[in-house]
Amino acid sequence: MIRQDVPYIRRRVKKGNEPVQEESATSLKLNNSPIKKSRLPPFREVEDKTILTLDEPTVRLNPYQSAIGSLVIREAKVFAWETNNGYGNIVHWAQDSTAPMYGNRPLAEFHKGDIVMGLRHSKHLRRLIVGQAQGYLRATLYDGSEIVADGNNGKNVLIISRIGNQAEIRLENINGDDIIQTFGIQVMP
Amino acid sequence: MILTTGQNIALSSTGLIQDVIVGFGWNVRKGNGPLTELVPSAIVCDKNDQAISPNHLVFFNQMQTPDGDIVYIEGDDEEQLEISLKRVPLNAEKIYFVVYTDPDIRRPGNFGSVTDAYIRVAGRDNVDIARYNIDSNVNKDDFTAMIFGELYRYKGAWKFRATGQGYKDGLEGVAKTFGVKI
Repeated sequence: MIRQDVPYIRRRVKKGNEPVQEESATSLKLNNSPIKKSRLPPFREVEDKTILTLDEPTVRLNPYQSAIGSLVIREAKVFAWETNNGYGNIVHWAQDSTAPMYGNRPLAEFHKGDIVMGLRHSKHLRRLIVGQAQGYLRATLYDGSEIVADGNNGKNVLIISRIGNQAEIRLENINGDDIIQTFGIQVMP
Repeated sequence: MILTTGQNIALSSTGLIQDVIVGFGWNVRKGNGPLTELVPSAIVCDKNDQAISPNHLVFFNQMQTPDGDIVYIEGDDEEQLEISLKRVPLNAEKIYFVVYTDPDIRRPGNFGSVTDAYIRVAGRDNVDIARYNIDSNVNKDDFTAMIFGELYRYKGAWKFRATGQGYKDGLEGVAKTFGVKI
């Protein structure tokens, strides 16, 4: 695998550890609504403190922010995880995580009251949906950057997903409490 | 050739070597708790030992894959990088190979739980030119990043030095040393 601006260094891959293919444009369903500016490239990048709103709901982490250390999310009381093989589950506050393990750590879990996601292995993640915050959701990164969003008494969720080698965090409003049903997550048997 | 800390070696007596493979290996002590996870990286530096740009720390998550261009690790290394020496820009005088412990807040670990760590440089045939076994007698309990070795230009040819320098302040310390923005 080669970084395009550093073509003289290539990383070899372990068998079974191949990179995940990006979503293709043909897999998207488009409607006729005008696309908000924040949903078009160049995407908003994380600053020291980035505030997400329903008008400006999306931010992308750079490749360093997307793969070093932990993403820590405060104030949320539930998360649902879904991996690239299409299975997932929901974890409520203080429950043991059912997310897959890497390095003896769940990909995401409640840790000391906060949701912690290990970014080193985030390529295995299709989506992490975080919700049920009465007040503001606060996500912090290894470099100290913070992303803040109004939990709106549980009506808003944060969706963390991977787009290529970058993590994207998006704020969405949902109707109802059932995250599994709202996002069509297939609970693993 | 097996190198000791600080020792260096010319990659080729003729200076004609074009491409090398840099391999990394290690063992991590297993247990029931969170494991130390090591991440190799390469920092491309100028003559002042500063990264040629603030984002010239190259690691696994920056490698985009052109379709069909995956090359697999050969042998027992945990990680391998191919360096095309003839394509390294002229303003790049050194490439440092830094391995850090991933700073997951859930007990990130340190090099104290790592044994048998090494770096090796091989030709395209994957036959060792040099190998450096990180000194197991050095107390590495506080280290959360280490420079394993470095490739550098010397009188128009490339050499490799076994470095073995540890950082107690991990990736942050490495970033400050080399002017990288992480």
